[in-house]
Amino acid sequence: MLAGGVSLILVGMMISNFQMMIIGLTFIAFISINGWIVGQSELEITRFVPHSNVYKGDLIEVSLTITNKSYRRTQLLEVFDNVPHEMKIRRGINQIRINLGPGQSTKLDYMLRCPLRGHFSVGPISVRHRNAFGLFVNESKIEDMCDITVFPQVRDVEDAMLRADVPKMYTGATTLRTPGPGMEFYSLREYLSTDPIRSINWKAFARTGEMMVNQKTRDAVTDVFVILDTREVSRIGTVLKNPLEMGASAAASLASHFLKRKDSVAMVTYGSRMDFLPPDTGDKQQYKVLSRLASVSPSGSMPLQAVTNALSPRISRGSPVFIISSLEGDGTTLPAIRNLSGNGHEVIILSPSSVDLERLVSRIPRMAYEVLKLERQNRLTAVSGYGAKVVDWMPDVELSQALVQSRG
Amino acid sequence: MDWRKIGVFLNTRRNKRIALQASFWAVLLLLILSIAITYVVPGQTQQSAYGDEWNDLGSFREELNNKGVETTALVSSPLLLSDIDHPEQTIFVISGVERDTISLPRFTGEDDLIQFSEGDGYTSSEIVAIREFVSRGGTLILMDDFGYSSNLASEFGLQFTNHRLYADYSYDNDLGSDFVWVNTTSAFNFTSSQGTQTTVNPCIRDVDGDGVVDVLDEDPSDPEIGAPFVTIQDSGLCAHRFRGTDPATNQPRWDWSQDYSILTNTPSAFEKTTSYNPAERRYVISKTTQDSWIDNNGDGNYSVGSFAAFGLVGDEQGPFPVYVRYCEAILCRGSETGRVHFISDGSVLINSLYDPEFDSIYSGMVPENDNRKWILDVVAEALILNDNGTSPGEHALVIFDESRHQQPTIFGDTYNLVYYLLIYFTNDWMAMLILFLFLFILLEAVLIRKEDPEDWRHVFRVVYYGFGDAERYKYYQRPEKIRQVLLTRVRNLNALTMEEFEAMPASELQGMIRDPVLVRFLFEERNYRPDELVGIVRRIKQWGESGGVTKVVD
Repeated sequence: MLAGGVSLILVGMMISNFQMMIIGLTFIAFISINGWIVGQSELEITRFVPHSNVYKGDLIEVSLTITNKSYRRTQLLEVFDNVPHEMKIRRGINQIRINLGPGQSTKLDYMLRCPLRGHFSVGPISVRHRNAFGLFVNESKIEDMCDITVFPQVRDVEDAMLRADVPKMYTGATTLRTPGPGMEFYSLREYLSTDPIRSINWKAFARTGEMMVNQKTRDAVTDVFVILDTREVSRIGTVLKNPLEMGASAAASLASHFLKRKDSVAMVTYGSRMDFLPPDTGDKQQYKVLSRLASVSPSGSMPLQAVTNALSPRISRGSPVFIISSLEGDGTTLPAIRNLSGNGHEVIILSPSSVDLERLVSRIPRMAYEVLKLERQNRLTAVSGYGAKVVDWMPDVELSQALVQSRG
Repeated sequence: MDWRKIGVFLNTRRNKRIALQASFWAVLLLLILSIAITYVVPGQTQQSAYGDEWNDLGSFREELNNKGVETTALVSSPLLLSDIDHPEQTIFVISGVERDTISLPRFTGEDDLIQFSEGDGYTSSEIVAIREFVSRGGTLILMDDFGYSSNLASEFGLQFTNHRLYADYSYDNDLGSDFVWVNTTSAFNFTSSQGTQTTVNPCIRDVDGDGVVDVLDEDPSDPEIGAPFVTIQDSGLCAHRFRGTDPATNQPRWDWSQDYSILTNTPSAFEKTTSYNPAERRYVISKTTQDSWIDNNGDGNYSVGSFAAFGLVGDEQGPFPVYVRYCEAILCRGSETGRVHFISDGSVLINSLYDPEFDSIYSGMVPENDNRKWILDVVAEALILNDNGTSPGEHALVIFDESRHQQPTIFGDTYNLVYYLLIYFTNDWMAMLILFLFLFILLEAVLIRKEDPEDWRHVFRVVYYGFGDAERYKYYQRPEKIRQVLLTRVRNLNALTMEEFEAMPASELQGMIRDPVLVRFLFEERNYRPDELVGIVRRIKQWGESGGVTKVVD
């Protein structure tokens, strides 16, 4: 239009045609007025998200309130809330086109589904102004971010654990007749400078004239160790079905199950490095476990034996150990499990079938598939030969069903 | 007045923003004004046809208007002369070229193609436009001394000396030596051989010799027929030569003189060598006297001879041509042919000299002169196109060039500059081409840079695949690998350690397998067809499922 206006004026001047010049001037005046009547960007946008921690597959309601704080109309205004690609919009839409008057406000509501675990951020908010005729555009961003953590799914495995051929001696908190942190009284002893003041037995002090403190009986619980394989090989499969996703869900479910029973749970992940979450009980430990599992990603090739060697001094005697791994590409699996079993630990291996997961995304020749399966069976058989309980977890089988099929 | 409330009011966010914006625009305006100050302040006008000072040309313009001649001013550029429809009835008056103009590129159409630098005064495009105006029959009156009109004069083969002309005796005693007389006795005797060209000017043309000028004669070819009773109004553009009516004959008395006594003010002169050239149709009309001299060295004194040895330049002695006429046709024949009147003084038509009664500092001192008579003869020669009339033609027009004068109004020069650029970009086709190219590139750049933003939309994208190593599939189809898998299976099912298994004799191994096909596969090294391998793998699978005993034998 600008080119047309200028051309008309020039041609009009050349041929002395004033009508043509006036039309050209009209064009340019139109452009100029468009440039002048542009929207106002003094906006206040607030986002409300009810939960910042959700489980994989959960829904989140997001609500944006947009208020025009200026003294002019916004003209045509587009607001777009940037949602991570990994989240799916289930209801509503994350953008709105509005023309707000001074002081007016409006709301934008939409619902997100989180099909993947991990840490995500909703935002920033993109704002796009257009003038009255939509010829000029001005974009800006409001850096309002909302962090959302998506935990892996937690399945109910209580029935499966009862029916499964796995140890059931973890009965929760028991009292041992040894001093330590606990609730019940154990004995009196002399005060040490490291003792807290509130543990002083004032009656005994009054009676004997010496500072005495109360000692408590230690509340001992069973320590359950969950070791999750996060090596590079654990990414084989689709985004929703792969050894890591299945393993993360299984680890979360097992941890939740045992923590509910007031057992103490330790979480170990290994891939490019080993991360150890010391054994503990309660909701706080569950939150820690879930947060740790939300952020794991496949990388590295750390051998299992390196993990078990590093853990051996920290694992309580007789503690059961759950190993969640496809057992692929690691020559140290057998000696590692042999050592654990030899140290008196109950070892339960939950092994997602990586061959079948690979088959979801690759066309494996039939004969190669059969040989791979045979080799995997050989590996599982060898592991079970060392006294470990082995669960061959097929992709289309639920965790609770898989646990029931454990063999030893 | 509550200063606190005012302070609070000014301290609001909105008012702060307004104050900030106002400051910004004020500073920007100051910057622009400081640059454009040259074009904004009013100038000191002189030699302007629209001025009323002693050195302006207002009296001349008013007299033309009184005679029914339309006058106008050209404030932008002489390029507009190319748009004039009737150049043969148009006079273009240049009275003093006071300033240069900006140089813009020009397409020459010659070897150098584009000319980027320009000479002083008028641009090449403007000179071409003036030249074409004269070629099409227009009349140009160029009055300048030390100004910027050298290039325009050169276009017609004439050169200014660009030095001050002095006369020892031929100056006006009352006004002083700045006012030099330039006299001619035969203004229409262009050459020494061709005789007087009285037919050139309608105000002295009398073909039948009856004593009545042809423009008033009822029959210009019959000496017996004169003119009816003639008044000064009837004389029209030749009224300046009307001397009343002879009561004896009832015929008009007429000034037939061909001499002019032109009074100049600080004049210059033309080069002697280039002024007169009949072959190129340049004729010297008026010269100074012998006692005149050109102050070549600019010392204000007459220095005879050259003192080159001392690094001095001597002055030059007269006579010098001051008034030169150029004719588009030989001897300026034909009333519709172009002509140029060069006079080396820009002040010959200023109010004080043109109108002796003009109220100025020179009032009552200016002697009688022929400046008015001369210019009115020139005007009549240019605008009277038919033989039997003294009125100007229907399209007669006198254009005063004001584009090279300082403008007296505020923003006057800015307006002239903008208008000049406008004329330049719409008249010079090279400029038009550059402008179009520039606009085209600019708009393309804007279009490329300013793409319409894409519509926003949320894309749900979680699809990725983790592939295994596809190269290993071939390895798993080799007989050696299949054989290894079988052996591992046998060892596992029989709960043997590696050492025990390796120490075991072959016959015992055969006994463990108990399948002749698998046994043969283990011990027979040969090439297997794919279908054979498929069968063997199936047997291994079945063998393992049955706990070491093959149930199905192919």
